[in-house]
Amino acid sequence: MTKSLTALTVAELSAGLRQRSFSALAVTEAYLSRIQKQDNDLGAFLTITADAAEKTAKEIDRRLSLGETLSPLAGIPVAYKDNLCTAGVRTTCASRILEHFIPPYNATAVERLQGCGTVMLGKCNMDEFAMGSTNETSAFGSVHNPWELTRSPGGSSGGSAAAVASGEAAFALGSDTGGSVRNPAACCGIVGMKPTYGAISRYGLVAFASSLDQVGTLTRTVRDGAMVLDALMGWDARDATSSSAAHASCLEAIGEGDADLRGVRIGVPYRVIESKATAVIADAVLDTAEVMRRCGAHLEPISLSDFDTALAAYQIISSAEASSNLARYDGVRYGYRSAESKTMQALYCNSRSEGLGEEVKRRILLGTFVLSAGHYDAYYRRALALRRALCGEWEQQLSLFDAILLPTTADLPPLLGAKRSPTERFADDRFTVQANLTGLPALSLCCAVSREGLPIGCQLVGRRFGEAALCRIAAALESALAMPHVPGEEVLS
Amino acid sequence: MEANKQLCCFSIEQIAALAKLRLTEAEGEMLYRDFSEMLAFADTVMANTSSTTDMPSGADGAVRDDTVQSPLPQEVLLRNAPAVHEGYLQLPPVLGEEGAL
Repeated sequence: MTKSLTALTVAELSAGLRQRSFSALAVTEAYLSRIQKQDNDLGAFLTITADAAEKTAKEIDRRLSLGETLSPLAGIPVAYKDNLCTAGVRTTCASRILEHFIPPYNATAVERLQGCGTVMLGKCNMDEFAMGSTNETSAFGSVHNPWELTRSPGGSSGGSAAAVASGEAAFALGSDTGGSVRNPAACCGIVGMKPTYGAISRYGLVAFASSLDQVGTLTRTVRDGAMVLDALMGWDARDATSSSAAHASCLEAIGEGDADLRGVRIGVPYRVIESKATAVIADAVLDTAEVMRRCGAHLEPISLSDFDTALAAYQIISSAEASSNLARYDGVRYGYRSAESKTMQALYCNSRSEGLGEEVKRRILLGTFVLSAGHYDAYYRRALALRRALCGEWEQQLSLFDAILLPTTADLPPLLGAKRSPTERFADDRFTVQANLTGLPALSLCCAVSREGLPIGCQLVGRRFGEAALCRIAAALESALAMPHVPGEEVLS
Repeated sequence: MEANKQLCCFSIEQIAALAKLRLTEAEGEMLYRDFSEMLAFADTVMANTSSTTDMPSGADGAVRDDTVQSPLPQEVLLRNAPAVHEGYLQLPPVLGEEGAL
């Protein structure tokens, strides 16, 4: 059976465009048609840029017809999480306070992909300011999981993940502060990659917690992720935390992507997996470990310090940085301004109180508290100490292993509307915050489907700036697992 | 509980004032409960951690050349402003009884 255009991977689309099997315009129209047909049910997009997309696609077709040599990503439709600035296109962060904000510049990640000739389809829904793990804190409604519409797609890059899984975008960009690319990738059965802190410029990514934020990729295959990463990684003068180190090509590292893991050493924290994940997740991840062993990998049990401690440190550090970063939303220079403000103090308070959502306020308040006099040492500095210790522990483990295998989520995608306490919601990030606190690269890929038909993700954490090696291991595992690439199509058609 | 005592040093309204937020009574009560839970969790799991450390750095020291670059034009920057008067941001009074911070 011939695959539809929206079911092809980035690599397949790229090859087809160069062979003139189809045009960039036909690909773009196929995606726009799919968005029009199903996005009312999914809610993955906040803004659709159809006219600009068709214009770009026509220009790529024209250049291809002239025989120009273009990037492998030229003509490939992409969607951006709505916290990446796009010049002239609304960027809301799924918040009322930025509902009408139109950036005058592009994020570096957007600029680099535009330079490759990708076709922007639009901007994706997300948790407000990336604060959440179910996409339910968006001011513009929840995103639904394409595998089962009553379930969350994960978060905070839930719209980006749902769009890729359901065939509404060939690939998408998200951001990952505590797991916000990997969690929705796992919930939607696709591949999510958070590279090393500093590997991709954060310029133009609306800041949540600057020492943790990183742009990440959401793709249907590891190979697709590698293609996008190769286009994005590299030093940027506009981000002082971006790295000038040379990067090995992720795509070249994958090669043929054979299921061969001979010579690869994988650390597996069996005790943590069995005690912190539900049985269905733990079983799937431990089965995955056995698949890796059968592919020739050397597996060894490792011990890691209590994951709850890292979660507390993340809760404190991310909230502290959020309280500082989000102080800029005051109704003065841009964003929502309360109409009833006769004084400056009232202007600040009213604009912020009316424009920001409940979860964002909760985190700003927690951050303000832990940074306040008398509590700074008790909470913030202790959290930094934990972070420092965690960095040492993970670097030491990764000097012995090529990667560490973990679950991505502790449980299956939650039902939308489920009542959970803030601590329970933070616990969704239990297996993902370590990579953010340490700055290490981590990748989630679908490793199983539950009895209910829901995807399960496993996670590989690699060495600092070891994206290429991590992609090679993940591609080999993906080849051995042979999971479906567009899982949502059956549910939505 | 340590978290409650520490939270009592500041009322939830005082923290909200520091963050330039105004809370309804219901929001204040809900957030107080959430705070207590979150801080109690942090107190429990971080009980044996010292607070002496340096911040880990992700930067490798690569900075751009120290040269003057063109800023975005004023009119472009003002396009997103909620209120503009003759090329400037328009705001309520800052000084005087009404506008005093």
